Amino acid sequence: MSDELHPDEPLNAAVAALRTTPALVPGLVERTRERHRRVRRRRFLSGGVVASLAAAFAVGIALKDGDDGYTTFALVAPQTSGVSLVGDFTEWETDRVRLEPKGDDRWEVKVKLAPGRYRFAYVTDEGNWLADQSAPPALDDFGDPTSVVMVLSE
Amino acid sequence: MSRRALLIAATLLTAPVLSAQDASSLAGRSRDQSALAGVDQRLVNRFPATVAIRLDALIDSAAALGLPTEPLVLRALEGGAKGVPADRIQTSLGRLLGAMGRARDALGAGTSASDLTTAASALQTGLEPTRLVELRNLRGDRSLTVPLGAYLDLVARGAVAERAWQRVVDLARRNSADREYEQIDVAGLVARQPEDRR
Repeated sequence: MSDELHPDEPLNAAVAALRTTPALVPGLVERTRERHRRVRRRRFLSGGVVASLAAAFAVGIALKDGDDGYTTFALVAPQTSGVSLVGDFTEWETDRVRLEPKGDDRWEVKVKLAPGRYRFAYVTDEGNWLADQSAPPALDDFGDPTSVVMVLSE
Repeated sequence: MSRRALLIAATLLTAPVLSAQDASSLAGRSRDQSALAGVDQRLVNRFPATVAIRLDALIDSAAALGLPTEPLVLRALEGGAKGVPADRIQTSLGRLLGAMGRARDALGAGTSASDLTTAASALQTGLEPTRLVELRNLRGDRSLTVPLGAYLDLVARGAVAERAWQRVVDLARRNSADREYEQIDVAGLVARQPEDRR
């Protein structure tokens, strides 16, 4: 019998009860944890999160505020030959601010911004529009991924 | 009649028509050129002349109403960069223009462009104009961009609008620093049950 129990399997109740007395079934706790890990991983992979990121060629994006008046825009995009930053502060020109390659598929640029609230996005040389996953999404009439960055004056 | 004579006759007959077409096309281009004279150069550079003129007319109407035009120009440029059809850009600009007008009515004529734009976005999420007045009274002369921006960001991240608004207003009542609005944790404001959404 396989130890891969279905999440709705009635036996799970019994397993849960056995968990309170793990000494009765050697290795049960470890096997259960591993099974939960596998189920979680499957749910994540099939949930569209990874699929949509992969479609956009991005696997992780970060943004941080600097104290020197500069805001750092960073993106991890493994399958692109180049990335531009576009937004209100570039008047939506797609070739004005280029991110520099920093190794390990990471791209980065620092931009000096006056205090305010700006809409922005990344555009790869292949023409994919990417939002910044760490920044709030913009409420958008146009459908393409767009993010918002707030630069504080304090 | 020889072939050469036929060709000359055909050329003479069609020449006035072609000249008229050329003249009409030139006149059209000239009309476009003169109509483009007052249009924001960024629109002229990014859109076909007829679209630039249409969008500029909307932007002009904002100026006539005393509303800031730059947010509208930027929204148009965003749509252009994303390849959005002109009609949709025009609709989006019209919505933003209307919302900025309502925001100005609520907040007063001296409101900054930044506050008006953020307030307009908040109204577009369904926030009541009276809420803007409430926040204005709590913030005094300080800008509304940060608290309204924080509210918008929370809602965009899935917070229940009423809960997000109450958190923002709580901070405004306590005269909190702008940095504190940025640090609001969305986790406690997200609906856990369908009935929480109300």
